[in-house]
Amino acid sequence: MSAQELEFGLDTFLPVTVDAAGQAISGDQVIRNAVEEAVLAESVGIDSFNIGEHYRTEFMDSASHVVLAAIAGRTERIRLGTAVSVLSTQDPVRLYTDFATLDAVSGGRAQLIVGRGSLTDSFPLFGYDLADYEELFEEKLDLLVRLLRDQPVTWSGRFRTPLEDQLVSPPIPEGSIPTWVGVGGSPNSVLRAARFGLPLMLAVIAGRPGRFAPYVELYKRALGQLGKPELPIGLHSLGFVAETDKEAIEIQWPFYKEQFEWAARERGWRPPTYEQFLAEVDHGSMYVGSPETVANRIADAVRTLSLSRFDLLYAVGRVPHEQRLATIELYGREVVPRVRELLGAGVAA
Amino acid sequence: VTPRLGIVGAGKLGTTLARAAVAAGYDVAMSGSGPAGDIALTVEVLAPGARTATTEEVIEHADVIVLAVPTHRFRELPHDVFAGKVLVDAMNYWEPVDGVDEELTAAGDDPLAVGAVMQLVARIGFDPVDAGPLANGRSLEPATAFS
Repeated sequence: MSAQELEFGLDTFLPVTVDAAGQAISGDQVIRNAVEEAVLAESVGIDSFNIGEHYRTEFMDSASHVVLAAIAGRTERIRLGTAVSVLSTQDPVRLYTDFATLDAVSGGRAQLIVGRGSLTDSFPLFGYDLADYEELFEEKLDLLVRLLRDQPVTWSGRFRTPLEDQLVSPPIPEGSIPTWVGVGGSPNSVLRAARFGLPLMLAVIAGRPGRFAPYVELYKRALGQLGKPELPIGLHSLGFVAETDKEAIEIQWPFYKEQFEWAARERGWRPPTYEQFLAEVDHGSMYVGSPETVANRIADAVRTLSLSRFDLLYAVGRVPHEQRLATIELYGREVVPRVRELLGAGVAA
Repeated sequence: VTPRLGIVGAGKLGTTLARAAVAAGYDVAMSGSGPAGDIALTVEVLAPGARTATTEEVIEHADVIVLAVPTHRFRELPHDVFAGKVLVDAMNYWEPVDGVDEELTAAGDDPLAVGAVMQLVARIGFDPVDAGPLANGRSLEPATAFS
């Protein structure tokens, strides 16, 4: 993998941010701010802008395709994707029509990461049973892949009406919507991505990136056993870039603390401590610091996990819009070129 | 004597525990939801040194058995084969939602069994926490606050 082939993405869940006075801003403003953030991302050379899917009051990313279409109208080159689409509770036919249309309006720039989601809000909201967690994803991925690769589709399953010789519009050239499988550490999900012949996106929000090296090996060996070609591997992790390490840590920590305290209360985790946060920043999965620090940490992860894509979920929690813009600017102008340089130097040596 | 550990479930939690238990010197057998061959590659790569088997064989094999499958999968397991075994219920800890923490909590009514489990947890490098009688197990579910 040469350094030039590396793709750098920015990911966001459209968190409801605060203003300079610490007050939460309105949801509609959050959505318009995200469009501005994506426009800036393109202008500083980022390869893709990817939006999550949640159904709760702190995130405004419940209809990513609409936001991405608005971004498409303001940009020329940047790829527009999801991180992730919760396929388990979506109708694959609707997901296909939304993103085939986005692909058309953006001139072929749509992409997807599909996953089961780490939050479960969408299951009761759309009338699905969590007991079907595994089967829902398997079945819906099967249908989505057929719609993307091989229309007309004749298909039947447990969770929706069958299709008979069905054409779904708009048509797309085969493979024109790159579709990745998002994996949070379940071995079965890694094997599933290999079985469907789809690239693997690892979501790692804590611990050393090297912990996931066995999953990379599992994926490669499963592809080999199935007689499939090698496929790209990506990493999604969290981070924040500022002029200095000290500034980045000081800005990010209070918002990280707040976000993970909420998660801890809801999900039975232990609340975060400052020491754990610093450990994550030093050698774990928080890419926080000056451009040089973050570039070195990303380059290490790229080498350790043989990555061809790195997505940074920029600015964890309610970090204000102005500081999100500043982090995008530094990531695009300084971090990405420096990572390419570090990896290029590694190859030459 | 090499202590024998059985793990039912070869997901993130099951393979993580298996890897730690093999490193701590346990003889580990584990099973997935299908035939043993289905998890062969997963176990070979993620928990080298552990053996794959059917769930019945895993239970037969081990003195201490960890159930590392989601709660809604429990009804698919054979209930009558667990008699006389120390059973660790990791099921209310649902890996896709909860991730892998470095602390495992034991609750039980048989002090010897709780002791065996605490020893297991300590040996494989997690932090054991005795949560008292089994009725307290309910408080270990993610949505419930300790108080």
